[in-house]
Amino acid sequence: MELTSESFLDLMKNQFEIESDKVGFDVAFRNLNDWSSLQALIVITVIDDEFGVTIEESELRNAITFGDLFHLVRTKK
Amino acid sequence: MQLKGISIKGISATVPVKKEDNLGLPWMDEAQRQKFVETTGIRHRHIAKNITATDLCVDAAQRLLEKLDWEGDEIEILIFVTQTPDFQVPGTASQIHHRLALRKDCVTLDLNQGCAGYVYGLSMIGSMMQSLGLKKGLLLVGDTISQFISHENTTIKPIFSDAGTATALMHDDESIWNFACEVDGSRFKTIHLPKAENGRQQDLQMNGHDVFSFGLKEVAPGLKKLISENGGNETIDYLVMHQANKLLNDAIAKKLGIPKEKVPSSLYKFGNTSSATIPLTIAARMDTALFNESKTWVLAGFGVGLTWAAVYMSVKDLTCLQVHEI
Repeated sequence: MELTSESFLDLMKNQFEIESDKVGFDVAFRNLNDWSSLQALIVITVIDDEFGVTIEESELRNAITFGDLFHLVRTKK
Repeated sequence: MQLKGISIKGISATVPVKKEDNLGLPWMDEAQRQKFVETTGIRHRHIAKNITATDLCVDAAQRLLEKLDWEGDEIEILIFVTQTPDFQVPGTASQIHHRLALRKDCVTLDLNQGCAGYVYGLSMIGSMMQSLGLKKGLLLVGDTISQFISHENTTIKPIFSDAGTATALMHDDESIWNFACEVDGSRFKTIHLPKAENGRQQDLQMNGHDVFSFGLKEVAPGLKKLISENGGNETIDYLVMHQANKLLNDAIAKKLGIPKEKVPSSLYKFGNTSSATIPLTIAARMDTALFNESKTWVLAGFGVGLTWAAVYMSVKDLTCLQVHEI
């Protein structure tokens, strides 16, 4: 999948099972009800699968918002 | 790494009768439980109570020897792979040797390996049988890792389960095994059991994120290389992987481009049984009707160490027993 703002946010929306208007680059994903260690593994697996980028734990730890995560993926791609 | 002249003739597995259900985990709500089972693939776990990995492996071995009609005094080598031995001293293999009434000059030793332990065990017993000219061997692989996971350890408790297995090996001129392995000891604490403090047993610790990263970045490309060097995906009938969890195993299989029907799983019924997952999965999921014809397998273990090890091999005339509970 080509990495764009739209494709990234669509992917995150599907993984977190939340409504479209609640997913944005300024949303802190750790504050969402779904967030857990299991959810973190789902996120890194789907990002690896769709964009070919494997995120390390230390990198994920520094990401707060979906915008941080998108920036991280774009930088590593 | 190539090993010639040894083949697998039989596999059996034994699990504790006590079972726990991840759909009954008290610290999760119903939706969380469903999501956990769906994502990890793990519903039931077998938990050893008052039995050890030795007991499970001895049961598996006794049933297998009987089915194969092999006598104890025919076995010339016994290797026991475990991270949960009965005692720190002595090693457990000698006790198993006694319980199975094997011959006195049987080569008998322990091997401390985890998730990649089955493949390491195959490479070790195969190499020794070949170099020493031994005709028949027994590889026992099992763990009761649940003893190191307390009720408070809610992150990893729903993953791990207990099992013991036995694999019978025999000299076979036509057989060729091709191995590959890698180790990253800098990450040894990714899955580890801290030493007891003030006599108090510590809990097993696991950094799931690091295991995933290792699986995606190291294991998948390593397996791809092994398979490609041996003729490619089309030559494989089954890829039997260590049963870590469904999310990671599916991701690795997808990266390799191997369809799900060629990647058997035993996670739903048996969880992650550490070193025992590969032979347990073969016993639990393989179609025994296929065992008379030659089949090509890739067996791949990965985890504790961190390390991974895989073997590309053909199997023919295999005796495989159904999983037994004790």
